[in-house]
Amino acid sequence: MVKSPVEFVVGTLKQFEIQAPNLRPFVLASALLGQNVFTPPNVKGWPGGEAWINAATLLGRKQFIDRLFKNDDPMETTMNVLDEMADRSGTPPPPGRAQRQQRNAERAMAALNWNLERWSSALQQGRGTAGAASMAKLVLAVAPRNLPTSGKPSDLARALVADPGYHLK
Amino acid sequence: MNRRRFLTGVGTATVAVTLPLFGRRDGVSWAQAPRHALAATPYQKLLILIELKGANDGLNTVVPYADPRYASLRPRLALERASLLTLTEQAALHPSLKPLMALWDNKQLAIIQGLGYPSPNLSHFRSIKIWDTASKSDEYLDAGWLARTFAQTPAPAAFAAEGVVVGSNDMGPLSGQGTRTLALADTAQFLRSAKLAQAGKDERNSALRHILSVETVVVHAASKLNTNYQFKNEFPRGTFAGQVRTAAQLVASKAGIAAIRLTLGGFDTHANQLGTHANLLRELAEGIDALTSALVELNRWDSTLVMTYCEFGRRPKENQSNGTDHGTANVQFATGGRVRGGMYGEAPRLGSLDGNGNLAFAVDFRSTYSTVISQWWEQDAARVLNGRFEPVEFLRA
Repeated sequence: MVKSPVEFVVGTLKQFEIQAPNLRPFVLASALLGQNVFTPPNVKGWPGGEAWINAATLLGRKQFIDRLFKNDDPMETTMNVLDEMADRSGTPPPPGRAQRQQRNAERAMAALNWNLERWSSALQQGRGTAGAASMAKLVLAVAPRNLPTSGKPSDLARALVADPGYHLK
Repeated sequence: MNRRRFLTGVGTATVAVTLPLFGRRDGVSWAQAPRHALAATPYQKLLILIELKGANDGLNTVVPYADPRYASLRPRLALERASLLTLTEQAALHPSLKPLMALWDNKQLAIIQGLGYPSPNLSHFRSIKIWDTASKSDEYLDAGWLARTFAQTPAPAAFAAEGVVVGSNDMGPLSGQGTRTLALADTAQFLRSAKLAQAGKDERNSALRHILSVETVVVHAASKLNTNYQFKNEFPRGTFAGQVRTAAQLVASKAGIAAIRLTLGGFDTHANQLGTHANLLRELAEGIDALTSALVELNRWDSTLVMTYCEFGRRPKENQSNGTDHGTANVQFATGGRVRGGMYGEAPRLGSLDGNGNLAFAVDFRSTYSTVISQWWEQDAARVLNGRFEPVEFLRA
């Protein structure tokens, strides 16, 4: 089964213990990935399943992950995510609204409290490859396609969220 | 098939008899042609669809000015006769469509009136689904009509993609599994993010297989597309013009693409329609004008067909909010170097509206798809459309 955008976005926050006092940017991210919460396309709801993933939404998910896990500065991270994703939708909000969203997102992200290094180190502490395997089990619903055998624990986490299996549940 | 259509056009009675001969001759010429994958594909000819999202008001787009009922149904919304761009003794274009007049004067603008389908559905969502999947009113199909065309006759593997959706995440007529379809807003940005994708296959898990196939499509397309070409003409500003520029850039990549879909949104003009509609039509016309220049510059004007579509038209009688409500039959445009300009279909019959005050349709919308599939791409339209629909003859032989 494919994770819905909400499962993907909120699941990422929960999984990596990212505490976001303001969920607004993440609600927007979910909408841009195809699931505008409480606004289904019709009474039948979203088609769901594999229909969540097309060339646009898959690249959107990858960008979300890439930006969220790439930088040390979480504020820069979310700004980039939102910029890129607003680009993707093809309908940028009017300038005033864009700036307001930007300020809101900045505030939200400034208060974002998480540390990938700490999260992954704690999980893997002193457990070597067994630690890597257990992190893979925790993050992915299927076996990873490429599990790095060396590198920092945070690099392992980055490899796992970049795995195509990360979109499955 | 061009000769065959030419003969049909001049009304030769022996067409049916001579057909096999021409068919065979075509076969011979193909056999002698170099067996080059790209040379043999119907998709050297490009289709660019423009969705007028929200349902364009056809009566204020191609105005039946000579019919007195037009002005009486629309005391506040009827456009001034003096401002209109005259096409024929019956019809005139909205003044914002001035950039299209050059195409009309060149006899390259086809105007297809009275498009619709039996038992029309007035919900945006449902009716656009009917148009996208070329279904009957009460029929629910999963795959879009273009996706089904590509399933029947795939584009060569060397093509960057079969279809590209620009500026929307909704695949519309290109939705359906197995179609190599991209959605992007901007080519450069697509190429940046495509670096995150990795090709792969052969998974037993079907969801994973789907994800990997999408990644493979992205990686392949990214290897073909580029943004190297510098256009001589400037593109207008605005969201839709940005999509037009992206489409032109895709064509300039010479990467092989069979269909591109653009979307201009905001046509759901229930209130205070006049200004909004004038701006939207200006955006549309300036966009088509810029697209025309770009395609001419790329030497692709003769091998491109541009066509508009939307879910339905709007009700002839204006509403209480200076707007118009959801209607039925509507008018669409087709243009391109091989389009035979003129009026097609049937002018709106304002005198015989149905019980809801809506127009009767004259031409099934699937007839325009039939033109694309059977005459533009010379493929079997009946199989894709699950039935025979007489093509609208707006293409030159």
